[in-house]
Amino acid sequence: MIGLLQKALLTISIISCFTVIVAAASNHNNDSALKGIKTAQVYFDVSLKDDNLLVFRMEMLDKTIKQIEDAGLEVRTVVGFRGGASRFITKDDHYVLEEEISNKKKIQDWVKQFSERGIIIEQCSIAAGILDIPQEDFMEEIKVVGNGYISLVGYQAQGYSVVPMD
Amino acid sequence: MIPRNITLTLILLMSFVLGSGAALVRAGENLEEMSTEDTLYVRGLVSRVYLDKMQISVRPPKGDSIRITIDPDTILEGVSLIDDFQKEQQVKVWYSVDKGSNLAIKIIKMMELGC
Repeated sequence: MIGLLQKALLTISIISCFTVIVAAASNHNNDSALKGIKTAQVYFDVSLKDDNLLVFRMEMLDKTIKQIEDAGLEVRTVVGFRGGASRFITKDDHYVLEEEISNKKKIQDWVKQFSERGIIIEQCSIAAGILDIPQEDFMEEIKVVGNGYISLVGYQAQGYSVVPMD
Repeated sequence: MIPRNITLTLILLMSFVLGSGAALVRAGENLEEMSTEDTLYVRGLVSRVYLDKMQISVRPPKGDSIRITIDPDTILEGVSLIDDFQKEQQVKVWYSVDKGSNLAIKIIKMMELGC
């Protein structure tokens, strides 16, 4: 009961925070940061295991990409899943608790949408192994890679900025 | 000089203790990650903890939750007490069906790694 209350309060706090950020963002811009930049390469490192926070992060991820595009930049994006977040990008309602299914569906919808927009979505095979999830149980949009940490290193070496979503 | 009967008793006692320990280790080692004729196996997420009933529910990756009863003979690894179980923890459970209830033989709480 206390756990549910804490979760509800956390969700309300996040939504409030998000509302404040959105309100603030409407009056501000990132002109100084984006000055002279034509292309943005971003690697979103997603390792959250909380379904509510994960949905919120997917919304933030979408908003961030759209805002960079609105600023006139070309955006190349990779979303890397690892850790507890891995469970939510598997097929159907598998690997989650009953009460997480509705949020899993939202996350799956985001994954499909991101993939249609050309965003690369990767899953660390080491995390999948630890969670005992075989490759074929991941959504079709997911590219399972050998080691998520190597992806982080590699994309950074290619000039991608890493945005942690933990 | 230790009397012969005391020495014999000590040897017998030590053999018993060592033998029991070895049997316990063997019982744990023999449990494979699959269901057998005598023992059923499930791996999944703890979906609920019933402290008053000494039970936990485990939801396997594909399928409905299974309710498991823990008794004093259940071997626990990764946790000391039923109170240590929490929702969303990954567990491996070996159990037998006894009079309609699923009695846990061994439960391992998996490590939570960030990788």
